[in-house]
Amino acid sequence: MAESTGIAGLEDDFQGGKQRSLWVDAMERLIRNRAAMVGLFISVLLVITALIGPYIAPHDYIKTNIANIAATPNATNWFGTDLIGRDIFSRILHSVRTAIFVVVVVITISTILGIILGAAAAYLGKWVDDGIMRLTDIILAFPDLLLVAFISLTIRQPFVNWLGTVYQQTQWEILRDTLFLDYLIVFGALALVSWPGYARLIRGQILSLREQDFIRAQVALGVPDRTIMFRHLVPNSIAPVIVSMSIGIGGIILLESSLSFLGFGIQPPGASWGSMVTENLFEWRTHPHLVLMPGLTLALAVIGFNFLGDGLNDALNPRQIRR
Amino acid sequence: MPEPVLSIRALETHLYSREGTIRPVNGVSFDIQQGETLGIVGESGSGKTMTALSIMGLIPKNLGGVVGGSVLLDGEDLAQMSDSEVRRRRSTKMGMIFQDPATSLNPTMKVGPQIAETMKTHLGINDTTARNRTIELLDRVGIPSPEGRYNNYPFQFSGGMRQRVMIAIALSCDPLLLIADEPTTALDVTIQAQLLDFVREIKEERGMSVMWITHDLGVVAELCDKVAVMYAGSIVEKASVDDVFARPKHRYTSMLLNSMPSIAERTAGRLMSIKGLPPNLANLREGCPFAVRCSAPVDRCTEERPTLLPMGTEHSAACWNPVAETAGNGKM
Amino acid sequence: MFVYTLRRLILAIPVLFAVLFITFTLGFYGPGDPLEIFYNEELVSDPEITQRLRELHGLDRPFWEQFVDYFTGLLEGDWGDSISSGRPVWPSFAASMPISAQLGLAAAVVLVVLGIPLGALAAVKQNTWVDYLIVFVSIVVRSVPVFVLGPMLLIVLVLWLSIMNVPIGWKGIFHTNAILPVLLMAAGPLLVVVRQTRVGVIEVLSENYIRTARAKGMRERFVVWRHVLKNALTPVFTTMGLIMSGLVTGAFFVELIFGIPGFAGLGIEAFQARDYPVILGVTIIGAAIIIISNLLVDLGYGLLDPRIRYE
Ligand SMILES: Nc1ncnc2c1ncn2[C@@H]1O[C@H](COP(=O)(O)OP(=O)(O)O)[C@@H](O)[C@H]1O
Ligand SMILES: [Mg+2]
Repeated sequence: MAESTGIAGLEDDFQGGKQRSLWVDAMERLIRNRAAMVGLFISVLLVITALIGPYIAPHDYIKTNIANIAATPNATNWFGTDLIGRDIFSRILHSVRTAIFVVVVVITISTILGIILGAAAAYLGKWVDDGIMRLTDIILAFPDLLLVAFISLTIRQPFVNWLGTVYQQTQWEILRDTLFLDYLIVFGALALVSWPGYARLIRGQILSLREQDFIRAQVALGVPDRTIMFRHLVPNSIAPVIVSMSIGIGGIILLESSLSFLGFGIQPPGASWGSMVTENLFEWRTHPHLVLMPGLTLALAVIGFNFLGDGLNDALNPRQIRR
Repeated sequence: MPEPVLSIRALETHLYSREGTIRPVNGVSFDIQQGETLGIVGESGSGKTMTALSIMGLIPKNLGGVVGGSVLLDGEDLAQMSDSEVRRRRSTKMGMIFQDPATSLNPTMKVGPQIAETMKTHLGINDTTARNRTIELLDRVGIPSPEGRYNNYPFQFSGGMRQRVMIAIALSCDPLLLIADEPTTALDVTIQAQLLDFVREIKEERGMSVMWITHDLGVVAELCDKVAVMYAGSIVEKASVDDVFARPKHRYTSMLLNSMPSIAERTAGRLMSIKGLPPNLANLREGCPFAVRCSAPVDRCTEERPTLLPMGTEHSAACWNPVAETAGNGKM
Repeated sequence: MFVYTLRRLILAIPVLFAVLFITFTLGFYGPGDPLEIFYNEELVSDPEITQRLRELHGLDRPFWEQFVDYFTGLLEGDWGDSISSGRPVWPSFAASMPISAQLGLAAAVVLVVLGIPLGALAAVKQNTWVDYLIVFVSIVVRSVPVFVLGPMLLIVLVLWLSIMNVPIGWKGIFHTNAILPVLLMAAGPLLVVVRQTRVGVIEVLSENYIRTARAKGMRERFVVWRHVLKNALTPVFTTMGLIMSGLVTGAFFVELIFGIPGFAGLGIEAFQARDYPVILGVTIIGAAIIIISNLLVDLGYGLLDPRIRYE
């Protein structure tokens, strides 16, 4: 019989015609998700505030004013002042920077650590895999807050001593900045408890992808390992990592503020939402705004990131992954 | 002619997706008489499963549903009934078995109770009776040592055995109609043959009507009395098995027949394949949906959609340019 | 099943031991000298007294010796002496643990009774406003840390609405004072339970065997209870460690905020006082709780999934 005569204009009825990319699809799903858009708005606002906040702050965030303590919100001090007369709004603007800074650094460190160790476990297998997985077991066995608090409690002193010696040799002024030190300790402790999640995720992804037919076919065809890794495994693992990062942000902010709440985080006069709540926790009856203002901002920030994370999760994994 | 057991008219089912409304069942009509077996054939994606699920009232609500037409089962229109009325007719009037026996049974529940609970729901019998009847059924569908097997989990059964369990479930309340959606596709050829024999036997024994969905014309030849060929959500040819094999009218049907693998190829597990792709059911154009792939389209094919036209006794096809009969096969 | 149980048990022991070792090491190489913190400077600056104190607390011996000592002590039920009070640690643990355990148990009940039905409801009503509302509220509740949510609730309930007195102190789990602490402890992990149940139920609802159950003509409610839930709870189960971790963390804040003399509160005091023997004990027990619940999860799989049981 003759071949298809190809009647004009009918070809685009074929299903294969418009394959839309995963990312365009995901983007569309995300944009239609109202909660995620609100989350995105809050997140962007926070990042901008982190960048310019300290410059637009109406008052000095450390300057005390004994004449004006515990003022309720008013025209000059929009969110009121705290027990030693510092402007709460300005302090909150600064703590946004603290929070975002911690989030960015910790997420970056723990994702990189997680990707390297997870990929190593999946690729090298055998005792490397066993070792890394047991390590994640052990770290995940601790209640995270306890471990973070414990680590920052114990490493602070040795760390200060060590930096002292480094300072004597290098004379770098920054090493004597206690705020800088706080940051380093908080980063380290938080990253240490955060990486196992990413490592397990990456390992699981690579192992399950390797079992899939399209990867097996490539291996059978003799495509080099490195090409498979970068052309297929990495791109296919990115979506779950992004989801897990965005879901992790809220958790890190919570953990950092809990740490400050317990007194092991960014120390005063540095500003962190957690420490602002703690300083005033037992004032809730007499000066509720001291707790409400930083508490509500903290809540709003975490809600924003969590909505965004949840939206990304829905958008990138229509079939859902488990953490 | 007596009242058919199942009589479908202009059945229309819509699924809602982001690309728009999909019409997997687009004006389907057919009858099944008592004791008769109708084979439904067509490529995958042609709407066979959706037709079966529409009859059963099992289209997931979040996906879509039946939007038009009638489904007369034993004289009652299921399309007009409430959910619970339809539910009560499942198992008792119509039973269904599915394509994938590996996933069609609850993996965390013993096999026996999965059969027994059906009877307890519909027949109002007590636990002991249900258990005894289940063991009888297991025996009837050919499960060895049914008493012991009653308490096994699905993973302890082979694929063919699981499909037999599915049949036991479907037959447990003695339905008038059995709908089978490619039940043998996932099985290997010997098991498939055994199962077909068994179904034929039990069908005779009970005088049951069967709607057998398959994309394997060989199975149709073995098992069915009549055939309906589906393409893009519509039936394009309807006839007796003999007519379809000897005198296909629709060019899609003859394409299917030409692509039928030989016995040797079938034992090697090859599936049929034909050139081109089925159309996108979300936006069907005017005219015949098969026109692009057709070997002999005429102008009318792109302009007007063909309806089922009579092509002989009990034989109809939806084609503007049907296959002419060859000399050996009768009149011009 | 027995072999399976045994194997899980054996796998958990090295993890517990590693936790113990890490905790001890962190404590040992911690901020120099606990003596400096608890005895005043002049005393400690006298080398002779320092030496005597060290011997008294056994702090002068090498690391391994101290570790083995601590470990054998633990095996005999001796958790060491508190530095701040000088008394053995264990009795204060024994007194405070039942309180935290009651709180934790009550919170777990709240999680199950509230979280699983809500998650299942959200799944059954997927993509309707019911679903959105349930997920929305659980995200909000999860996003507000307990130490913010607690005071905020107090401000609203006590200060603004005046519907309750300040619920400070411990008067037993059945006293109305316990309501707020229990709810707050459950608040954090609630999202995990709701989300996992929802995902599980959605996934199972699209399984073929659910279609089979419907094709059999079972009532929808029966389908959900009998066929969906048991299969859907596995993902909830997998996050048990996460949930327990959330409960433990919640306990810290709740006990601090509400002045409850529980085990976690003991830990916080110890952290603030740098009382290492107590910190060690609290951390080890906290980790043990998580390890044991993960172990129970593994055993639970065996109950939920016959394939594992028959392995
Ligand atoms: N879950 C689904 N979601 C959206 N569309 C579907 C779904 N299942 C089937 N369809 C659509 O219905 C059409 C018919 O499917 P189906 O009845 O399963 O075909 P068959 O059983 O003949 O292989 C498919 O081409 C597809 O477009
Ligand atoms: Mg099908």
